[in-house]
This record gives sequence, structure tokens and C-alpha cells, in this order.
Amino acid sequence: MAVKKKKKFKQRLQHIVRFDIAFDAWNSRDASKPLITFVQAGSISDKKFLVGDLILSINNTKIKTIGDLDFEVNKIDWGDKVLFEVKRLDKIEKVKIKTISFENYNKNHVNWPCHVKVKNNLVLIEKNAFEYQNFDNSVENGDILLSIDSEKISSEFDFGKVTSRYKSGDNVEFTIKKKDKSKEIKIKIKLINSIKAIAISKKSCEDHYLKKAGSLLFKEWVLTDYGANHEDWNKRREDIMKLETIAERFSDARFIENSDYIKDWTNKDAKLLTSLLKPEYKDINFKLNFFSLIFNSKIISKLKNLNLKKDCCYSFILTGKVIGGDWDKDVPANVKNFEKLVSIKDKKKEVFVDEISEASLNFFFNEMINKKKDIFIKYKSDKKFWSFSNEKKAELSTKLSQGFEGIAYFLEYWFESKYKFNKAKVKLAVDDFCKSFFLEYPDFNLERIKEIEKMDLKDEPEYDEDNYGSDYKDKIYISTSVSKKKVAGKESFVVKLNNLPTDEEIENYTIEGKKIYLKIYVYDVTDLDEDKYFKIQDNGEDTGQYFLNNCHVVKTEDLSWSEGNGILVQSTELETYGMKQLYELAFPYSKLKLPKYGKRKLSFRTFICTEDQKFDENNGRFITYDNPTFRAEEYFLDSYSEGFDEYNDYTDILSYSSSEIEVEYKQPGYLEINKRKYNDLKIALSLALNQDDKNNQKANLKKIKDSVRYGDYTVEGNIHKILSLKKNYEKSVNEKLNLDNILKDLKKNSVIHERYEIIDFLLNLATEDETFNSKENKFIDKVSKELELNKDKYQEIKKQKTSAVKFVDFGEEVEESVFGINKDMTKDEKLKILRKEYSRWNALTNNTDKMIRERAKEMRDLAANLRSQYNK
Amino acid sequence: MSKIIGIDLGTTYSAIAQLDDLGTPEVLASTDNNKKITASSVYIKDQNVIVGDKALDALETVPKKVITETKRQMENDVVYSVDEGKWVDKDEENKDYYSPAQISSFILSKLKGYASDVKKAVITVPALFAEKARVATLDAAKMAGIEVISLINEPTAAACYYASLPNVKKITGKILVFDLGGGTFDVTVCEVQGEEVEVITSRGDKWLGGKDFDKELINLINEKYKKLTGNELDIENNYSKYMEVAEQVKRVLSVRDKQMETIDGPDGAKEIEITRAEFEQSIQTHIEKLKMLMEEALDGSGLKAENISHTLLVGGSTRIPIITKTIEQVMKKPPLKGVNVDEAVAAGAAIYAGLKSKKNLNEAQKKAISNVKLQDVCNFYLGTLVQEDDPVLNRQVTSNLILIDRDTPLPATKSSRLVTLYDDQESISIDITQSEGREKNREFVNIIHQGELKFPDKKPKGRPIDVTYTYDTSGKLHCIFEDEATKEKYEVSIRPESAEDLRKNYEAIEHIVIE
Repeated sequence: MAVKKKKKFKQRLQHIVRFDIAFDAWNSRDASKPLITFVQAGSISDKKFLVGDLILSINNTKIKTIGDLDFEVNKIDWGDKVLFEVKRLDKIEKVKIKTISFENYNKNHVNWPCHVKVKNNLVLIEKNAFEYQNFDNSVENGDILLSIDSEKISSEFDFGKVTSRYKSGDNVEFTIKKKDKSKEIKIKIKLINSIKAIAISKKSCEDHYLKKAGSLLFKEWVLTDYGANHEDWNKRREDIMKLETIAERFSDARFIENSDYIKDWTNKDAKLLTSLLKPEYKDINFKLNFFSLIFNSKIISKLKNLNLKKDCCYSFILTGKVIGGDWDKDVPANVKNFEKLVSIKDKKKEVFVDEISEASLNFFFNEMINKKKDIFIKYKSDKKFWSFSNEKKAELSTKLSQGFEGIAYFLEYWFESKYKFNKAKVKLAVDDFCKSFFLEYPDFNLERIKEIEKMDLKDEPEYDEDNYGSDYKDKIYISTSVSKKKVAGKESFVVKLNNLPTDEEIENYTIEGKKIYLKIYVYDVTDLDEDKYFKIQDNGEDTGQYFLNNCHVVKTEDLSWSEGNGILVQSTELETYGMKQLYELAFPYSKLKLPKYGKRKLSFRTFICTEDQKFDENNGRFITYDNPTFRAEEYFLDSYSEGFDEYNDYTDILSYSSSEIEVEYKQPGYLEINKRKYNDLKIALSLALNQDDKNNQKANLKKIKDSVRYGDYTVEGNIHKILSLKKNYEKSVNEKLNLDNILKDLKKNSVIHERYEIIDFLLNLATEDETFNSKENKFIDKVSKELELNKDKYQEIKKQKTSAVKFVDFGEEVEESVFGINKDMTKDEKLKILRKEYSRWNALTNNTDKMIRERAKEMRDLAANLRSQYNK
Repeated sequence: MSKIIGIDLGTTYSAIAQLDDLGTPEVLASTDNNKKITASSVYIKDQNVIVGDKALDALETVPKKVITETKRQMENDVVYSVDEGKWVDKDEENKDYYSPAQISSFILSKLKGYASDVKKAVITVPALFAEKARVATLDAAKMAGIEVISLINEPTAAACYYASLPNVKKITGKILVFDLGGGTFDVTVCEVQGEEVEVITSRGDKWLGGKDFDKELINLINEKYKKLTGNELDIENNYSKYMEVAEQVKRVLSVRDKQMETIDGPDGAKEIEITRAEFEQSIQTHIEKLKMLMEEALDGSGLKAENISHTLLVGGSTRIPIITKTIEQVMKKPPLKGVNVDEAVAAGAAIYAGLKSKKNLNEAQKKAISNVKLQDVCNFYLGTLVQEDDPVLNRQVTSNLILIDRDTPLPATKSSRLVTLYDDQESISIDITQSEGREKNREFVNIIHQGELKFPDKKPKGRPIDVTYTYDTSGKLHCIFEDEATKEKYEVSIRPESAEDLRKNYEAIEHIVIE
């Protein structure tokens, strides 16, 4: 079967001859008939073609579709005579047209600022020229065109028909509805011809602040017949405008550690990169790894132009002088630069460089991307005086994660060592080298190197580099406030964060590869006295010591609330997404361990800082020049000057704010607690429980001995424990343990959870014999009250511990001691409590534990009985 | 075609009902004495078992061999020792013993005999019957050769019955069903619209009923006897005898203000007068319980007494005047009277049985119950044990996470996501809990099932586990614990088809003849 050969024609991009006729292409141009729908007034086709003509042939070549016509028109040159055959009102007519010169065409051709596309019955604007400034500023793609000079536009056909009537110099008014349908606008323009339009565009491109992009834009615009022969000129235009940015980014990739490697670029960015490369480099895949790229023939030839030879690239790698070499360790000392690589091998195979193609070599290296294994290389010295073996082995780590940036980095080294360039020159040279891969950028060659060599470029001072960041970046001014709130059922301090950095601000910093953190430390600033501080400062004494003595960091028992050192901190990385949710951070009271007891003033200090900012492990203070800084206030951003105030400049702290709040801390602070004292008191209290019951006391002593842990497990700690047990036991035998004194001391020497620990322990001791008597109950109630424990929590623990034991000797005090009823309560309150108690215990009569079940029945009856008495 | 019947398996009395040909529930009379209620008493006489009033008669002569109030033991790991004449802890050494399920199976077998060709039944249980007790009831039915198509709550059955009565159609709105039987008390708030019954909440006390009042009466009689003679009655050894006396006195005091009773004691027979006021005083604590549970039910349904249009009485003990007085006091209006309080539950169960087996009904029956609809609720909190931070104690504690709330309309499905606590955690232990109260404390909940979900791989802490509980209308709980990452599941249906030791029990009773 014969196969119809599809016509192939390489489309000519520039200046295709135009007849200024239009068709109604319902489908693609290849599938639609060339039926003329309008003819531009004043054009070469005016009065030659008529609306409704169906073009049958061009220069005696039959055509069926608009695509066929395009194909044939491509063959015509400006100034040619062209013969058409058209079907007009059922007759075949011949149409002769003599084309004019391109220049004349442009003189006559009216440049419209847009064309249109119908979607959902709306005529949507697609801008195609940007020479009409007021139109360009007011109209967006997708806005709805309603009319032109009051003539309604409902279709592409209408648009063609109407616009075809206008000539250059005519005024025209567009009525447009904005795409968000918010308002209708009217825009008047004076139509210009193509010559003027091109001139405006040229000027505008030349004046563009992105010079290279502007220049490329104009070039490509002209090349593609003013955008007409480009599939999506608008998209290409946007891409071109990114030329400088992408070239900078490509070049700067070598400065960034593990952050913006080209191999990690998104596919979209990589595609953009390729689209902006010079044609000869378009087939280089810059996402490949270092080894693949260093062996790429085009890159090698580029390097050769700089008098760098292929061999030397290898040897640079192998000597560890560039990324990829395993510095010092694995490279034999006698290996020098410019030695020839003979072969490379991993565990499976050996590749001889001179024997295989580059593609195979690429493949070999690509297989190893990011695999942490070693390969073995053999290399040969060019220096003939080496008398011993000229093939040696060295190891090369493939954990290398860089790609092209490794080459750029290696070049830096080369410029530095061979040309003795200073840093500024090195930077300029390598930047130029990197950018020379891109369109519009000049080639990088020996001449350029010589130019740079002659330049009088000086390195910027080191400190300026540090300042560089704060000079060009927007300053961040966060502000905070702190309040007390219940969060997820927990009483907490809530720090409200205002003016957190925006996504752009974070990006500004993270582009340098540094993560940005928000950190909040809390300090007890109650004892700070400004007058005293200034006096110390005036006397030239150590203010740091003053802060160490009078301003202590708040700690935490829960290591997950610290960075492993017990210092309370809320630390979170600020990322460019998900930030909006972060505006309040809570610190549950229970997580705070304050330094001192009583009414305290807390300062919540919030830092926005880079990951490089260090904080002292012992006191949470941030570190400058290896020393902790005691006055965080010195790091307030000064809104009147360029950055931080005059005391210090520190680029890793991007912003700082603090807020203060008062709190009543009802337990001894960490500075006040003496753990051994706590344990002594625990022993004393436990022995006081059954002070007058000698039998129980002995039994308890063993349990106390086993349970009380002094924590330090030292011999000294053990001796201390034994002595404490002995001393307190003797006292209890003689009934000399004074409960009030023990509790008073315990309050000073225990934190809240330790107090519950004690209650737990006392209840265990009391119910050891499966009974719970009134005396024990009263004793533990008193301990709970004096240690200021939460009543409900205490009752809950007590109920749990006593749920399966027998109550003894409670008598008439039962209601108060067992159900938590007291004399101050009203009758209704008492009835309510008893009903709840009854209900709860009644529910427990279902319990699978027989002891609990029996106890529940007892308690249920007790509650009902009491209530019936109150109800009498 | 076999019939589906309704059975009220009570603490003191039981009843069986079926729909008559017109679809009206009919409580069947005993073949022994033509009574419509049968004493839930069992007399173990050698190889025979006697159930009902005849067993009660034997209480005086062979008290150790007569078993009463079995229902109160259904959830316990106890057995009845005929030798000792009491419930004792279950022990492998016990030979001559009967489990509560076995005793109940004798009662069910007896009831089953009142109707012909009975294979399937709906059995009622107290609203607050624990899962274990429900399983034991199912076991009992199985042993009696009855397939239980559904267990329903007693007050729900009663409400269903009341709603179906043609002459009480005017009962609509929120009603309170007050069910005080011989051994248990249930109070249920329902919404009734025509013949549609929607349960809102139930409260109850499994240890509160007529029998408890009888015990108080014995104590009262004992005090009086002691006052007269200086000596106390030997209650322990004559418990059944005195209980019988007390029940008699209680019945009389329900209609009269006082009763003179001859009490036989260590100092001979004495005439003792007991007034209604004295009796009412003696049961004050129990009355208080009734009040509290009514208040709790009102609170639980979010209603006040004024919002309740009627209080329906169920159970024999509601005949006691102080009970109706107490109801009037709490509910601020007298309860409805006029329906046989002993039969309502069984009759309601028969209607429910009809609803569950419509294909077995004739047209008249279908029509009679066509409008009856029932919506029950979950009577327990169902949850699982989890570890959580206790900020006060500053450590992780085990606590009960509730998935299905009490009073959730059935069927119900609830899900929650849990996460693992540790890196590379290999498994999670599963503890499915049931509690009447909203308990967080692990000590106060019943663990009705334990299991373990193992992970096939290791993951950092925070690995999500999806927990889904489904509770169906017959009170059957289905739980799924699923590892989100690997879809590995632990799935369990809590109520088993049969208890593990059922086979043994079958063997044990094969030779027994039930009279």
C-alpha cells in the first residue's frame, strides 16, 4: 500500500510574506479550509480577495487546508508575484497579487495591541504587542473585550472584521470588562504601524534594566517574525526576562553548600535553563553529576580554550584540589596536577579512559551518583623523570553531591593558582565563564582572562562581606506579646508573634543556604535592677556576672521542650510554606521550671536567627564572638539606622523581640531545691504516717528503704540515705517527727510533680495492708492540703489508690474525708457531690475486679445513705 | 414454622410472650399453675431441676439447693455450690457447681416449654447489664437450645410495648420508663412519637430491687424481735424463710398501713407489728438511690422533670406506694398506671421479636406492628487505653480514651487516630474498655478485650493508627485497629458466638431433666 508522504518544510522563522487575510479556523489550521473571513483594509489583498473566497491553489499548487496554504506561502519572497485560484460564489476566479517589500509592508501594517480568543461565549483578550503603554498597563490577558468603537465584539470573526477596517493613525476605543468582572473600562489608543511598533519595542528593550534579557527579547522577537512564528511568544517572553536571574543562579550555585545545586533544581527551572543556553550547549544536561560533566566534550572543549587540557581536569580531581577528591587522605603525596588518568574502576569493572566513548564514561559515572562508595583510579605522570611505577591507585569518593558547580569551583582554584587572581578577579572570571553558556553573554576565552588580569579590582574587606547581607536585605521587625491562656486544656503562656518574616524575606536569607529559625527563650528578670546595672557598668565592673547572678534562664524537666540541655526553648524552622499558621506559641505552665519561688517576672525573648547562631548550653544566651551575650536588648533592631543598634552588628540574628509577664510560682525554684533534702523529708514524712502504729512502722521502713532513691547512687549518697532512715526512724519511734515542720520544709524543697509522687507513695504505704483507716486518710489529706495540691487531682488519685481496699474507723467523718465534702458547702452542693459519687461508684459495681466491685457497692451505699440523711 | 418469642429473664420473676394471630403481644401462662410470671428460682433436686414456684416452695426445706437471684451473678466469675448453698468463686476444684449461665439456662428452658416449637427469641436484659453479663445470657440461651436473635434493654422493651398499645396512643413526647424489678432498677428516658420509640439515655443499679427492700424488712423485723425478746433472729441460717416472710409483709404493706406478723425465732414465735411508715423509713437509702438515678437520667438527657410528659411503670416493685410517691416528688406528676407492670417487658420483647422477623408473621400481625419503630442507644462508654502526658505528674500515664460515648444512637461507628510513642515501636497493645461513667482512669474501666497489633516494619514515633469502633443495634461491638502505613489490622468482634467453656457446660447438663 502506498503511503502518502507528509510534506516536510522547515518553517522559516523570519518575515514570512503576509497577505493580511484571515480564515475561520474552527479546527487546526491543517484541518480547516482556507475560507477567507476578512481582508485587511489597505493591504495588498484589499479588493483582490473578497470575504467568502475559498482559496483553491497558490502558484498552481492545489491546496485544501490553511496548513497547505501556510506551507506554500513560506516559499514566497517579498516582492514576488503570486497567483491564487479561488472559488467565489460557485465560480473559479484567478487572483493575482504582487507582494511589496517588507519595509513597505511594515509601513502599511497596523499593529493591534491584541488578538482575541472565544471561551465560554466570552471574547477574551490575548495581548500580542506591548507598544501601547496605556493598553498594556490597564489590560490583562483574559479580560473580556466587549466592543471596539461601540461595535459589539462577540466572536473572533467580529474582531477580525472590525479591526480589518482600521488603518495606521486611526483612533480606536476598546470597551473591556475586567476578568474578575469587577468593572468595565474604556481605553483609547492611536493605532501605529509596524515600523513604529518595532522602533518602540527596540527602544523599550534597550532601555530595559535587564540589559541582556532586553537585548535577547528584541532579537528573538524579530527573529520569530515579531512573535508571530513562535508557538507561545508570551511564554517565551516571560522566560527571556528571567535570563539574568537564571544565569546568576547558575553561576552562584558554586557558593552554596548543599542547597541550590543545579542537580536539585526543579524540572521547570532546568527546562528554563536549557531554553536560555546558547544552542551549542543546549544538549548538556547540567543536572548530571560532576564526573559526567567534567568529561562532557563540550565542556572540555570550552576548558581547552582556556588552555586547560582534558587530562588536567582529571588530575585536579584526583589530587583533591577540587571537590571530589578526598582531601589529603587518599591521594598519594607524589600525585601532582596535570597527570593523566588511565582508568577508573569500582568493585565491578574497570574503565580505561582512552578506550571508551564519553557516553560510556558518563554512564559509568552516572551510575554512581550519590552512592557512597569508593572507586579506584590509575593515573600516569607526564613527567618522564619518574623512575618508579607510573601507575598508582587512589581512592575517589563518589558521595560528592555537586555537579557543574564543582567545575566552577575548580576553576576558581585554577585562576587563583595559575593567574594569581585575587578573590574579586577570581569571582569575575568564573562568573563570566559560567554565564558564557547563556544566550547574550559573551564567550569566555583567553582574551577575557587577560582583560580581567589587567583590571584593577580589589577584594572587599572581610567585614564588608558580613555586612553585605544586612545591607541589601529588608530588615525584619518582629514584635511579640505574652498572655496567660488555656491551650488544649493546659494553663499556658502564649507568645503572640507579629510581623513574622514574609515568604520573600525568608527566601532572601535561605537562598544563601542558611535555614532560618524562630527561637524563644524565657528568662526570670525579676531581680534585674537597671540602676545597679548601670552603676556596675560605670565602675567598669563585669556586667556579665551581674546578669548571671540576677537573670536566670527558665528550664524544663521535659527534654523534648529543650534542645537536649534542659533549657526551655521553643525552636522552629521558618519555612516559606505553612508559615501563616504560626502566629502564637504556647508554653504550658507545667513545662516551666523557674529558678525561684514566688511572684516572678518572666521575659519571653524571641529571636529570628539563622541556623548558625549559637546559644550557650548552660544559660541559653546567644553567643557572639564565642562569648554568651547577657543583654539581649542590645540586639534590638534600630529602626533609624541601617541594622542593629550601635552596640553590635550580628548578621545571624535577623530580629529580636521580648515580652514580659508576671507569674506566681508556687514551688521552689531550681536554684532553691536540694534533692537530698527532699529525699530526707520524704523519708521523714513516710515514717510520720504511722508514727503511733509500731507494727505498721516496721513494715513501712523496708518499703521506704526500697523506694526512696537518692539519685546520685554514690557511696556517699547511700550512706546519707541510711543515716537519714536511721535518724528519722528513731524519731518516729519516739513520736518526735513533727508533721508541720516536715511539710513546711517540703514545700520549700519539692516541685509539684514530686509532691504528687509523695502523695502516691503515702497512699501506697497506707493501703499496703489492704485497709485504709481514718487516721491515714486525715494525715494524707493534710499533706495534700499543705502542699497545695489540686483538690480534684488529689481526690482522683486517692480514689484510685483506695478503690480496692477496706475503709476502717471512718465513723461520722466519712463524708468529709471520703467524698471531699466540707462544712462550708451548701446543702445543694453536698447533694450534688453525693449524687455524682453515687453515680460513679454505682457504675463501678460492674467492674471486673472483685475488690473494686465490692468497694464500689460499699461506697455507693455510703453515698446514698449520706444523701438520704441530708435530704431528711 | 417456628415462632420467635420475647423473654423477660428477671431476677425474681421471668415471663415469656409471643404475638397472637392479630399481632397483639400475649404473655404465656405457666403450664404448672397458669400464672403468667414464673419465679426465677431453680431447685437442684438430684439429677432433676425444678424451676418456678415449686422451687420457691422448696426454699424452706432445702434452702441450699434452691438458687434465686441468679441474674445478679451473671457478670461475675462465680458458681453456685449446692453443697455450700451459696455463690462461690469459680475454681477448678469445684465439682458440684452451676454457673449463673447454666442456672439461667434452666429457667429459659422452662419458659420455652410454655410455647410450642420455640427456637428463636429476643431476650431482655437490664440497660446497664455489663458485656460479660450479656455474653452469659447468650450462653444461657444457647444451652437452653434458643437462638437469640437480639438482646434488648428491658426499659426499651417496655417503652416499645407501651407505645404499641392502641389505647395509650396519646403517649407522645419524652417519657421516663421506671423499671424497678426484684433485683435491678433501670430508668430510661425515651422520645415516643406514635409508635416510634427513640431511647435517649438509661441509668440503673443492678443491685437495687424488691429483694433489697425485703432485706431491709428482715433487719427491721429482727430489731423488733430483739427489742421484744433480747435476742436476735438467726437470719443467716434461715435466710430463705425470713425473705419469704419479708416479701409477704411488703406485699401487704403495699395496700395496708400496717401488718401484724408472727415471727418464729430463738425465743419462740412472736407477734410483730410493722407499719408502712417504718418500712418506708428502712428503705430510705434505696429510695435515695432511685431519686439520684432519676435525676441522673434527666441530666443525661438534658431534660428537666417538666419536659417529661409521662412516667411509665414497669416491674413488680413499682406497686410499693413510697415508690410512686417518690416518682411524683421527682417528676412533679404521678406516674401512669393501668398496665400490668410484670408483663410489659416480655410483651415488648415479643413485639421486638416480631419486628426482627417480619417474614414469619401473618398479615394481621404485620399490620399490628407495622408502625412500631425502635431506636436504642449505647449504654456504655467504649474506649481504649492510651498513654498520655500528665502535665501535673510530669510523666506519661495510661488513660482511657473514649471512642463511643454513652447514649450514642445505635448503630454507631466512631473513629479516632492514635500514634505510636516510640521510634521503631514494634507493636501496640490493645485494651478495649467499657465503662458506665466517663472514666479516664484505667482502674475504673472494664477491659473487655486485649490484643496486640504488630507492625511489619519500623517507623519513627508518631506512626498513625486508625481505630474504628462499630456498635450495632444488638449491642455487638466490632473494633478495628489499623496501621495507616502498612494497612496491617487488628480486628475483633467483641461478643463471641459462644463462650469457650460452653461445650463443657452442655455435657454437664445433658442428663438433667427440667420440671
